[in-house]
Amino acid sequence: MSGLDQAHQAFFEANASRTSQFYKLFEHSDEMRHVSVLGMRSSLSGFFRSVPLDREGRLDFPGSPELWAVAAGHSATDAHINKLLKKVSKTAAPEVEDSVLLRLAETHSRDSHTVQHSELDNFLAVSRIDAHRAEPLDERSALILAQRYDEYGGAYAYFTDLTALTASDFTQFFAAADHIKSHPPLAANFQLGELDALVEWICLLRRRQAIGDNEARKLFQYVADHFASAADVAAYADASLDSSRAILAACNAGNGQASPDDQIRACMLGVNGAQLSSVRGKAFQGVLGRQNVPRLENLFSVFDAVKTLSGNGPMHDEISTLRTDVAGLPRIELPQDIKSLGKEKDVLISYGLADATKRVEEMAQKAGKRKPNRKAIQKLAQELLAQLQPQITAALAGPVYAYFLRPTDLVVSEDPLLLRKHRYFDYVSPEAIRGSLIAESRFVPQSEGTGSYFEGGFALFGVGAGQAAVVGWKSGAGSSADAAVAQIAALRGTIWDSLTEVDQRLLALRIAIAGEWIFESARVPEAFEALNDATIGLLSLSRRADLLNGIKARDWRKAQEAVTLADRLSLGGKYLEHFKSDPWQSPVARELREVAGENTAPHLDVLGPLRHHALGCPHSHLLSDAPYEEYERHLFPSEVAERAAEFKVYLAYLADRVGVGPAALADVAEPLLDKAFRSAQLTEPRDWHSLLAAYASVSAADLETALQP
Amino acid sequence: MRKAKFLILICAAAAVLSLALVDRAQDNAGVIKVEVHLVEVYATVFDHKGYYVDGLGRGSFEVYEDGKRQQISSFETQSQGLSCAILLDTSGSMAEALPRVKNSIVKFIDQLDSHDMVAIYTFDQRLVTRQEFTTDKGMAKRAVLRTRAEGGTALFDSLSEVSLETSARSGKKAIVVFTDGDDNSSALTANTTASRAAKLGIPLYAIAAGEATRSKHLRATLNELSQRTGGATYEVKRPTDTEGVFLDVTHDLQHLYMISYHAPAGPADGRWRKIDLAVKGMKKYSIRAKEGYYPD
Repeated sequence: MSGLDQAHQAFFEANASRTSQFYKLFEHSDEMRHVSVLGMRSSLSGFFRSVPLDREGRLDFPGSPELWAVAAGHSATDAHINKLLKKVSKTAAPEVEDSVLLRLAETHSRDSHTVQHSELDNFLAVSRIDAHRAEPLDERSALILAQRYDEYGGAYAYFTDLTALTASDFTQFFAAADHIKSHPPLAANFQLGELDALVEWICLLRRRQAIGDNEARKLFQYVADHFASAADVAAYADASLDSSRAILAACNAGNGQASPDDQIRACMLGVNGAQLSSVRGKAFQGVLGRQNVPRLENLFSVFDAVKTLSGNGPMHDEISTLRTDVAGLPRIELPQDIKSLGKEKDVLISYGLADATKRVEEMAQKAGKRKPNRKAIQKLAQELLAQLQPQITAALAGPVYAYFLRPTDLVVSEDPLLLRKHRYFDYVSPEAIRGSLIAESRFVPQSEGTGSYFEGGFALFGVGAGQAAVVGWKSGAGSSADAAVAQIAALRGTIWDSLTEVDQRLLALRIAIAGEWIFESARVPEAFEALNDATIGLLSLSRRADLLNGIKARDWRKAQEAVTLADRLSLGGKYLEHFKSDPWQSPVARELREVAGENTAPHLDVLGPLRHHALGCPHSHLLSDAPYEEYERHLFPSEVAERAAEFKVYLAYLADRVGVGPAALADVAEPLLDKAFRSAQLTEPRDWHSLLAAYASVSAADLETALQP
Repeated sequence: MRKAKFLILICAAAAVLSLALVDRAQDNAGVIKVEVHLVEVYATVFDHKGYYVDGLGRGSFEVYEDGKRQQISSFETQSQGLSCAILLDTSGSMAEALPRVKNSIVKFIDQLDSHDMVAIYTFDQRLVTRQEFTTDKGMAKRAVLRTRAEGGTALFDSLSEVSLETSARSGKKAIVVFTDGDDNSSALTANTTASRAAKLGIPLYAIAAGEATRSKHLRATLNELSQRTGGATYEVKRPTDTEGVFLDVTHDLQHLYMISYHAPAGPADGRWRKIDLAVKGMKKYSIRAKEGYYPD
């Protein structure tokens, strides 16, 4: 309980019965019995931290409490969902919310990948989506999401961006994915790649606020409808190109004359970031170049020509256009040992253009006849479109790669086939298509065969990109790969231009006032009492004791060392909540109130870690987290790595001290992180203390050097 | 001169430093890009008895690309400063051998000239920079002595990254890698690493010990890597040989010439470019270097 924030501590300790029941549950959990939590999606302690509470500290059930009394997971036909909804309407609200939670926690199952999970996983996943929305999920939406979690949980991070979706949108998306399941694995791999890429485009545009919530919903509907009704391979190509055009039109970045390739770069990076003279724009284009990504402009031109050919107009010009466009698509060099590669070989070979070129020549031949057979030419045009599906998949996925990866990442610079090896689902395994079709992204390193690849969709691709980026990453002593993954993921997902100078000043003032608060607590009893309260659930028991005892003993070193920079930032936020007027006079407090008054909706979340574990989303959130120590005992260090991915806070604080605005940080953040990691001396992977010391080692001189052109 | 103990390969090492990167599929239309490639060729020259030949000048060498003679644009002799990156395997399997290897590397560092620069990297499943390039031999030696053995072996990733980092340095360069086991943690394949190493052309001196000497696959990879870069591969058969092998590498490095020329303009077709290197009027001399390169 000491590891929970105040609100959750209050909830679980509201009465003896609740405390006792949840203690018993925890006492008998695998986690408590020190059984490996490998394969468990949610730990109980994680659940205790994440239970959604409303402002009054009551459980906030997505949909309704009744729904969670009947949700049973693992079955998701429309008929079954309707049946469950009827049952919900007849179920009386449980008197004690605990009974619902306990039922969820005690219902366990295993999916096809032998991952053990309980209904709590469904509940937390749905409540995390709910927490991101302005309008709460209705019962039907919540039930659909709960029931489809086993199968499509890997896509749920998308729904934390697309927060206006309704039950019919979710249903149509799942129908589109189910439809893909009915196709042969290799074709399904490309179709799923297109679907994932388009949805991620919408998410990235939404995240940058290049499109509104309702616009994002409409685009999502458009994509899902097209994919759910695609009848053949050519129809998927058609659906992909048509949808991508609709997305670009909605974003409307740059001028109308820009090529679609320039447009998508501007939509994803913002007009300034997308300039090819900028570091970010250059890097984006560098990834596309190194991965030989086909140009959207070429493919749109093919698409238009095929459409024109389906009418009754003249054919020669269109066929000539097709010839030029197909010739302009990138050729790839296949590995020498390609013959020994099984299904991977088939995927890579399908990127070849010999058949597409042949189709164009056949069309030209037929069109050259005195009485050309228009229907036969139209059929060939559709076949051509189908044959270009791998190229279309690469063209749509390419910008997502370019957004999250860098041309200097070893796997990007050294492996030109990385993008084309992407397994949108595990098509190599015959069972996979019947299982969870959409999985969260992950990077699969291997030095055998064709080498490493990405697996899964693009939901949480930032984390997968972090895993890829640390290949060859130079660090100081100690195993810090997880820390580097979490931090790179947090940096690359950052939309720096949403952070203002006032935000940065607010951050620095919060940190400064926390320092004063600690110091003044020795003199002002009211301040000490408030600090005592504010540190509950923020500091571990031992660090809290060090802080409070240090203050009492005037041992300032001990007191100051008990709190990290992020702890101070959190305390600074609590200062304004605790004190409506300042208990001591200070210019810092005065300026803080002034700046906080001006900046009522700060963008400090931008500076937080990417909350993959905590919130199941691809966004940075600056939360008042449980103490670092709470995460140390997990078998894998990825959770403590996420918790301690606080480099951006250190960087923004340093920038404020030096007088550098946040706009300048985007280009220098990663080189400075690299410097910090080279100096890191971790004793073991969970050594967050040494990690934070490495972040703090980046100096003003380092920042100034990095800023020099 | 000291007699070389190993097979002499007659080939030429080449590095292509791309001064302008060209994106293939997504080039920005309308921008004219000019590529200037500087090819670095590292060479060690032996007389007919297998002894090192030192003291040759720029005018003594002739370099040909695809049969056409090239003008040497810069030349560094064996006496000029070297940037030497030492990449040491500290995976778990090295626990027993590591103390002896550390001592040998310390002696190796002592053998380097005072103006040579040395960097220390170690790898298990990750690459760790123990010491950036420095002329301070004491710091480099302390960095070596601080290492300990644990974890898996990501040889290919580490080698690729160190090659890329070292290639950014000017002047003569070399990489010395010591490993005792096959790669089990890399994300890059042996082919990718070999291809990159060949393109960068920094001579790689690979020292294999323990399991690495028994793995045919790894031996073949190390041989390929060193041959394609103009370096050499050594095997430590018995632990007591370690020091002697490092001494051989030291001698090799002390007799290294670097010759560079501007690559002739040609289509960016990625085709193999053959390099021939000769010492004027000395047909009996043999030259160890790489026999060509693939332009980047």
